[in-house]
Amino acid sequence: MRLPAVLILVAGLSGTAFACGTGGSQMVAKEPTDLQIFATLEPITVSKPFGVELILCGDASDLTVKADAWMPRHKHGMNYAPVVSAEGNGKFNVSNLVFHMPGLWQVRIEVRNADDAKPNTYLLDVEVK
Amino acid sequence: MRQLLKSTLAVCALLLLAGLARAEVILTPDEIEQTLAHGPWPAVQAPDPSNRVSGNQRAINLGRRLFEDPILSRDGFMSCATCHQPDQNFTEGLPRSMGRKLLDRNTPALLNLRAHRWFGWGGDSDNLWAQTMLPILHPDEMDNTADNIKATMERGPYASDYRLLFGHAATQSSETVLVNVAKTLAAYQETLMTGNTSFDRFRDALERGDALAASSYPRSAQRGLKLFLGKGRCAFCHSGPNFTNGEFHDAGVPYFLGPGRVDAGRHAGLKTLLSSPYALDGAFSDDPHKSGAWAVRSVIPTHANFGTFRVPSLRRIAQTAPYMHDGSLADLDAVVAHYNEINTERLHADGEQLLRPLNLSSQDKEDLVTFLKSLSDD
Amino acid sequence: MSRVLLTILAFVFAFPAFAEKLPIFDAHIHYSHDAVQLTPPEEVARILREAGVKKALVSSSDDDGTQKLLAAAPEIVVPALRPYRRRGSIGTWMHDPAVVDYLKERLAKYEYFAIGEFHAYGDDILTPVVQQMIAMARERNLILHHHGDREALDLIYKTWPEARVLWAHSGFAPPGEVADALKTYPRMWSDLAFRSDMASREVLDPRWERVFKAYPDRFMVGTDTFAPERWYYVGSHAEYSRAWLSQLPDDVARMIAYQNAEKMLATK
Ligand code: HEC
Ligand code: HEC
Ligand SMILES: [Zn+2]
Repeated sequence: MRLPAVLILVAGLSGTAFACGTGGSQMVAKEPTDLQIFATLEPITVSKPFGVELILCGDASDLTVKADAWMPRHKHGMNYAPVVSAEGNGKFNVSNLVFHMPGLWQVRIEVRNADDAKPNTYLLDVEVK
Repeated sequence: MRQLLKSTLAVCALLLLAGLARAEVILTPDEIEQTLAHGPWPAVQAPDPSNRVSGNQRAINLGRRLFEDPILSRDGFMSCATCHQPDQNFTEGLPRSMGRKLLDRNTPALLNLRAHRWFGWGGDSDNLWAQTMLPILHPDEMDNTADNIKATMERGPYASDYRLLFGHAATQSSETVLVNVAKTLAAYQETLMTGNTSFDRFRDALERGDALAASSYPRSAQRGLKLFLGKGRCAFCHSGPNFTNGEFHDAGVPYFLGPGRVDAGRHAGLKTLLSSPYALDGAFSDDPHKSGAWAVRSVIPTHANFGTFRVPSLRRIAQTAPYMHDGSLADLDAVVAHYNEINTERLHADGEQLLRPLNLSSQDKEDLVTFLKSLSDD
Repeated sequence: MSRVLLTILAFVFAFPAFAEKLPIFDAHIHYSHDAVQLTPPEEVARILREAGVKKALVSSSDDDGTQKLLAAAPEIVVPALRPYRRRGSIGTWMHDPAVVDYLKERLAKYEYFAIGEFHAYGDDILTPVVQQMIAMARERNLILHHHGDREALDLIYKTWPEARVLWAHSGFAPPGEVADALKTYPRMWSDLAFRSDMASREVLDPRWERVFKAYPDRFMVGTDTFAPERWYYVGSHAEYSRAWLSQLPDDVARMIAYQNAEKMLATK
C-alpha cells in the first residue's frame, strides 16, 4: 500500500514555496542563513527505499550535501546509508532513504562549504503511515 | 495515488457508516488508517529478478521434489522437509532445530518468503536462493558439497529435469550447479503463501467502507488490534501487510546459547552477508540491473547489531509455535507476557526507545492473543 | 558505497584477526549483577586479555561486580563507582537519598579512580544527591564519568570547575559539538562507546577525522557491556576500534587506543 508522506510544516512555514521557480517543502535551517532548501519527496512506503529531490536556493556552489533521517520519538536513525548526487544548478538527488517504521521521521540535510566554515543542518518532519 | 484516493473515500464513507453502526467497529479513524497499511493480502508477487527460474512451473515442480528428497544431503540423512515439515507450516515444532546435533536457532516457517529483504534470523543472505545453499553445505545440517550436488544432477533421477531448465550439468562448474539447484528450490519455496484471514476481510471491509462486513470481526480481536497499533507499539516493528518491517531489532530476548556462547544475531549475519559471493550485487544474480543490490551495498553495520534478530512475520503465527529465534517462548500467551513484562534493563539507555512494560490487564492480554490468532487463514 | 571496504569493516566488526594488536584501554565497561551471574570473573578476565584490552575503566550496578573483576584481573581493572545498584535506576537515582549513603560506604571501603558512569541530564545535576556526589568526588579528586547532555556537562563544570570529566559516548553529540565541549573544558575527555558513526560507512568519517586530529589527546574508546551477552562483543569491538584507528596517524591512533586514558588517570 503506497501512501504519500504527510508533511508536517515546521514552524508554520509554507509547504509550497516557489523560490527558484520550483515546488517542494521548505526545510528549516538550524542556523539562520540565506541558503534555502526545498525538498520533494517520493511517495513513502515503510521499509521501501525512496528518493528526495533537493533544490538549494542561494549560493550553492562548492557545497557538500549529506542526507540522514532520524525518528525523534524512538531515538534511532536509518539502517542504510542514503546516496546523494549533485545534479548541478543547486539540484541534488538523494536516493535509498529507507524509513523502516511508521511514525514521525525527521529528514536531516547537512550542508558544508569547501572550507567547512559554516556547516548548517536543515530539517523536515515527515509523518509516515 | 488513485489507491490513496480510494482509501480516503473509503475512510470517509466508513466514518458515515460508523455513525450508524458505531457499536460494531470500535477503531478510531486514525486506527483505521493504520489498519489499512497491513494489507491488502495476498500481496501481488512479482518473480524474483535475481532468479531466472522464479515463477517457472517446471522449476517449481522440481524444487518441490528436491525439497523433500534426502538426496541433497551428504548421506541421505535428511532433506529440507526434515526440519521444514510441510504439514507443520514448514516448521519443526521444536524450540531449537535438531540437525546432526542441536542447532542454535529455531526453524522458521517458510511462508511468504518473497516479502523479505533479508533471510535467516540474522540476515545471512539477501536472497532466497543464497539462503537455500547454506543448509545444503552446513556440516551440522545436510553437510553436502557442490561436487556431490553436481554429480547428482548429472546422473541422478533429476538429471533430465535439470537439463531442461539449465542445460547439461556436466558442462557446468559445481558451484553453478549448486546455485541452479538452489534457484529451483527457491522457485518452489516462493509458492508457499498464506491465504486470506478474518483480519484481512475486516481490513478490506474497512477499505470499502463496508461497516456491516467489518463488524463481523470479533470485538475482542478489534480490541487486540487497537493494542497492537497503540499502547503495545507492536506495529512499529511488525508493520505492513506481512507484519514485519524486515529489519533487525532487540526484542529483549536473551541470546546466551549456554556457557561461553552467545548468538550474535545480525552482527554475525552481516559478516556472512558481506563476505558472500552469492549476494545480489554478485555474479550469480540473474538480474542485469542488480535491482536489489542497493541494500547490501548500503547497509550500515553498528554496535547495536549484536544480539538483534529479524522481526518475524506474524501471518499464521498461531500455527508456528514455539516462538523467537531460539524457540524459547512456547505459546502466544508467553509472547504477550514477555512484551508485557519486558526487562528494559537489557536495553541500552540510548538505544531505540520502543519497548516498555505494558501493564496489560488479563482481558487486554486475551484480546491481543485473539487478534494474533486472527492472522491465520480461516 | 564500496562493498570491499564495507566487507573489511564488517569483518573487523566480527573477527579477532590482526597479528599485532594495538593495545586498548577500554574506558567504558560494566560488569553488572546479571553479568556476574552468567559469566564468571575469570571468564571475563580471559575475554579482556584475549581481546588485547590492557586496561579497562569498569563500573557496575551493583559495585560487587567491579570488585570481583578487580580481584580476577588486577592488572587490567581500573575501578569506578557507579552510584546506583540497578540499571533500572538510571532515571531515578538522583532523587534517592540512599545513594549518598551507598557512595559513602563504598568510598570508605574500596579504592576508586572515578565515580560513574552516572546518567544525568540538564538540571539533574542540581539535585542535592548529585551535588553531594560531586562534592564527594571533589574531596577525593575522582574523575566523573558522566552520561548526559551538554547542559548537564555545563552544570557539572559550574559546580566544580576543576573537575576531570569523562563524557560518556561524547554525549552522542555530533563531532562539531563534541569539539566545542572539548574546547570549552580543557579537563574534559570523551569516550566513544556505543557509537558507530566514527567509521560505520566506507572509511573514517572525515568530520570525525578532523576532530580527532584537532584533539588527539582527548578521546578514548569503550565497549559498554550494557547487557550480560555483550561481554562477548568485547573482542569484536576492540577489532572494530583498531580498524578505524588504523586510518589515523600512528601516534594519534595509539593515543586514542590507550595513552589518553592513562594520561587522564595520571592528571591531578
Ligand atoms: C537441520 C534442520 C534444517 C534443515 C535440514 C534445513 N533447514 Fe532451513 N532453516 C533451519 C533453521 C534452524 C533456520 C534458521 C537459520 C538461521 O536463522 O540462521 C532455517 C532457515 C531457513 C530459511 C530462511 C527463512 C526466513 O524466513 O528467512 C530458508 C529459506 C530455509 N531455511 C530453507 C531451507 C531449505 C530450502 C532447506 C533444504 C535445502 C533447508 N532449509 C534445510 C533449519 C533447517
Ligand atoms: C522493537 C521491535 C519490536 C516490537 C515493538 C515488537 N516486536 Fe515482536 N518481535 C520483534 C523481534 C526482533 C522478534 C524476534 C525476537 C527474537 O527472536 O529474539 C519478535 C518476535 C515476535 C513474535 C514471535 C514470532 C515468531 O515467529 O517467533 C511475536 C508473536 C511477536 N513478536 C509479537 C509482538 C507483539 C504482540 C508486540 C507488541 C506487544 C511486538 N511483537 C512488539 C520485534 C518487535
Ligand atoms: Zn522507530
